[in-house]
Amino acid sequence: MRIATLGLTGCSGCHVALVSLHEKLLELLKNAELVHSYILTDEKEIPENIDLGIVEGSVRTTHNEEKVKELRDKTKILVALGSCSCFGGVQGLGNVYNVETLLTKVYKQTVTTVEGLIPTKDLPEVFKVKPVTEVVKVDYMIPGCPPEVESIAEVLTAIVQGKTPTLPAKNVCDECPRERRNIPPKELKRLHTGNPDPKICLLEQGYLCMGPATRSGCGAKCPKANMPCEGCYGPCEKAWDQGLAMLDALTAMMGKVLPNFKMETHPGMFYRYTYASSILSKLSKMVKKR
Amino acid sequence: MKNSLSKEIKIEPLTRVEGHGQVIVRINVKDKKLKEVEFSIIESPRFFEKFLEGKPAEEAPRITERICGICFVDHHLASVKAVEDAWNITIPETALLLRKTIHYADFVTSHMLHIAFLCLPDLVDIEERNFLGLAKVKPNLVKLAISLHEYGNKVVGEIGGRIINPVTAIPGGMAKPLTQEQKDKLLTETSQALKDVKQFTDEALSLMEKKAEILSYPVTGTYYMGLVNDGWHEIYDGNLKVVDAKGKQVYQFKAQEYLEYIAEKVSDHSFVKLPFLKKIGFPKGIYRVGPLARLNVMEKISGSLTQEYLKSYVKIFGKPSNHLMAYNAARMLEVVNAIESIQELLNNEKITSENVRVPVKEKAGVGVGIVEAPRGVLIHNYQTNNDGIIVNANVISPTTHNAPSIEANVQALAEYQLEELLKQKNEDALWKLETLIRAYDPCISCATHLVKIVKE
Amino acid sequence: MEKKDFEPVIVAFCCWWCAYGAADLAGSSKMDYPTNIRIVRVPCSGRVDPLHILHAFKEGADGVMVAGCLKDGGCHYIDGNMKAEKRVLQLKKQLESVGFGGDRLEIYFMSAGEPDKFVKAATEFYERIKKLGPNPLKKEV
Repeated sequence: MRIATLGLTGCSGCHVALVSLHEKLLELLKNAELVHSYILTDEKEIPENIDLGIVEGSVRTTHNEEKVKELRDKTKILVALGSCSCFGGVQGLGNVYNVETLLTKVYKQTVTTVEGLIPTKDLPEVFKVKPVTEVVKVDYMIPGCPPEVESIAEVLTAIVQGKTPTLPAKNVCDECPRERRNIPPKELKRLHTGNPDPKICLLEQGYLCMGPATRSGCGAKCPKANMPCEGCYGPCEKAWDQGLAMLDALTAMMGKVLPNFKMETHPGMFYRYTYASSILSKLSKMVKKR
Repeated sequence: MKNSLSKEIKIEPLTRVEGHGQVIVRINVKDKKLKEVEFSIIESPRFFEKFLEGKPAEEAPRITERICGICFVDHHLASVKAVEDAWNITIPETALLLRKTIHYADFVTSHMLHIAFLCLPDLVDIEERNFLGLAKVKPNLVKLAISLHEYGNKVVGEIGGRIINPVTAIPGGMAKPLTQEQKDKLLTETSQALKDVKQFTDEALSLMEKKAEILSYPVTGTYYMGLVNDGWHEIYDGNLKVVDAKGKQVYQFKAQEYLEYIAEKVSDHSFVKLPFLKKIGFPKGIYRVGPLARLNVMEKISGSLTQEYLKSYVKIFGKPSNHLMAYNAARMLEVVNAIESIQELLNNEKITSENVRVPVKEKAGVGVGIVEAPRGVLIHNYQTNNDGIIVNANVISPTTHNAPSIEANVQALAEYQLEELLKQKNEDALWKLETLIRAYDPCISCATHLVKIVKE
Repeated sequence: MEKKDFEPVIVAFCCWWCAYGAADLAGSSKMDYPTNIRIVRVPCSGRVDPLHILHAFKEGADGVMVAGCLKDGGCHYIDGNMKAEKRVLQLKKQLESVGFGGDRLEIYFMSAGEPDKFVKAATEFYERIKKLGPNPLKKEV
C-alpha cells in the first residue's frame, strides 16, 4: 500500500499526532510504503498511484489548492486529518476579516514591526480559509485538533485493512463522567472565575462547555482535566453547524437571554475550530468593512 | 530564464523540517557569481495576531497553542504568562512547579522528535534518509527515541490533560492538581527515561562529533539571545541575555522591556519577518536563539548527568560555539537536562498540593510573557481592555528570530559550495544546504504567521 | 434586479396549534395576505432550529418569520414559544453584526382564533422585506 501525507496551512500537530502512534505507526507501515511526507521523508514531488492520501491543514493559498488537487488526482482514497482540513480550523476565525486587513495587521501594524510591507515576491496568493472538504472530494474525515491518537489509529487501521471506518455518532457529553443534575445555569461565567467542582457538569456550573454540540471520540479529556470542552472535534453528524447547535442548546437551557457576544468574540467561543465551514461565515461574506 | 549562462536551483519543499520553506539560489554561471539567495517561508501566515482581537484573554492560551503542533506547550505557557502579567497575577508555587514540569516535558518531546526523526538520518550513512531507513540500520536507537518521545507525551498528558494541545494553564494557576498516584507513576517513568537517555545520548553525541564536518564551512558568528536566571540555564522565567559571537554580554533585560531591544523588518520574498537588535540595526544586529544560544549565554546548568555531558560538549565544540553542529549537540544536552529537571520537580513535595490556583479579576493592562521554547525565545505580548478582552496582540516565535541568520548562513554556504552547485550532480551540495537549515530545527508554522537555486 | 420588480421569497415557520391555525382561518375567511409567504408547519415554534432559519437564508430566502402562540401561557408545550423568542433575538443580533441584516428575521405571537393578527404580521413583514431588497447573497457573482 502506497501512503502519502500532505501538510497545508496548519500547525503540523496532526502529523505529530501521527508520529505519536509510535509502534502502531511502524506496524501500519510494515506492509506499506510511505512515498511522500515532507516532514518525515525527503521525497519532493507527489508520486503517482497512491493508495492512501492523508491531508492535514486548511486551504488558504494558491499553492495549497494546487497541492491538494494534485494529491486528490493521484490517490485512490483521501483522508482529511484534523479539524483544519475538515472544517477550516482555528485560523478560520480570521475569516471574520478580509485578507487585506489581516495582512496589514501582521506585516505593518504589530508593535515590533518597522518598515512594514506586504510580501509578495515568489510567494503564493493568500485568500480566506477553506476546509479541504470544500475544495476536493474527501473520502473520510478524522476530526479533532488534533484527533486523539486512538481515533487516528482506528480509522487508518480500518482503511489499510480495506474496511470502512466510521466516526462516533454521539456528543462529548456522552463520554463525560461528570454528574448532570438538570439544573440549568443562571448565567455564563468566564473561564478564570470561580473554581469548578470537578464532579458536576461544567455547563451547569456556568462554564461555556461545547460538549453538547461537539462530536465524541476524544474521551472528554478536557472536562476530565477540569476545563470546558472547546469543540475541537467539530460538530456532530446531524447538527452540522456547530455554533448554531450550541446556540440552540443554550437558549433551551438558560433562564436569561444570552449575553450579547460581539462578532469578534462569538465565533471564537462557538465556532473556534469550525468557523470557516459555518453558515454564519457564508452569510458574512457581504461584510466589506472588515 | 533557463539557458546555459544561468542556473536556477530551487529546493521546494524543504523536507524533514516542520512547515513549508523553500530556498532559491540564483547563480550567474558565466561569472561564477551568486546573484541572489532567498530563504523563504511560503507557508501562509494564519494571522493569529489579528483574530485574537476581541477574544477574552483567558482563552488565549488554548487558542495560541495551535500556532504550533510541536511547541504547543510553550505557546500555552507564554500566553498565560502574558495574561498574568497584564492582570498582575502571582500564581501559587504548586502551579509554578506543574508548569515547569510540563515545560521540560515539552523539551523532551520536541527535541527528541527533531533529533531522531529529522536530524539523525543525516548523520548516519543510509540509503533512505528518513526514520524508516534509520530504523533498519539502528533499530535500538529508534526504539529508545520512541520511548523517550512517549515519556515526554505522558508527562504532558498527565499534567496538561491532553498529550497534544494541553488545556490546564489558566490565568491564576492550573486547572487541576497532580495526584499522588500520578506523581508516583511519573517518577517511575522518569527513572527509566534517565536510563534511556543516557544510552541514546552516548551514541547520538558520538555521531554528531563524527559528522561535524558536514556542517563545517566559514561561519561568521552572530549575536545570541537566551533566557537566564542569575546565570543559570533557564526556560520558564528569567531575564533575556544577549552575548556576542565571543560570548561577551551585550545586554540583559527584563521581558517587559523587550520593545526597547527587538524590532522586526519585513522581507519582500518571505512570509516570515526579520527580527534584529534595535540599537545595532539591520543586518548587523541579527541574532540567533535556540539550544546553541542558550548554552552560549548561560554560565551554569543543573543536573549531574547534564554537567558530565557538558564537559564532552565543550571539549568538542567549545564555549561559546559558532559551529552549526553544536546546535544539534546542545539540543541533545537539553534533553538530558530536561529529564533531570523533571525528576527534581516531581520530587518536590509541594507538587501534589491542592492549592493550584488563585482568584483572578480581569482588567485593562499590557502584559509580556516570554519563555524559552525548544527552538528559542518565544514572546507573547497582549493588551487587554477593562473587560479583559484582548485589543492588541503580538507574537514573535523562535524561528522568526532565526530567520535572518538562516538566510545569511544559506548564502554563505552557497557561496562556499558554488563549484559544487554548478555541477550536474549537485545533490550532495543541496543536501548540505538543507542539513544546515535543519540544524536550526526551524518550526515554520510558528514562524509564519526551500533551496531554489536559480543560475542566471 | 430592480427593486420595484422585486417580489420577495418569505419563509414562515408556523406552529401547528396557533399560528398555522390562524393562517388557516385567515384563508377560509377569505382574508388577503401576500402570496409570497411560504408556510412551513412545525409542531411548535420552539422546534425551529437556528440551523433551519440560516439554511433558509443561505438558500436564498429574502426574509424568514417565525410565528408562535401568545406569550404568558399560550404555548401548548408550555414555553416552546419563549425559547423560540430567545433564539430569534440572538440570531437577529448575529445577522446584524455580520452585515446580513437582523431585520430580515422576525418573530410574531398570536392565537388560533386571531386570523387578523396573522394577516397583519404577514403583510407588515412582506412590506419590510420589499423595502430591504433581495437577499444580499443573491448579489454575489
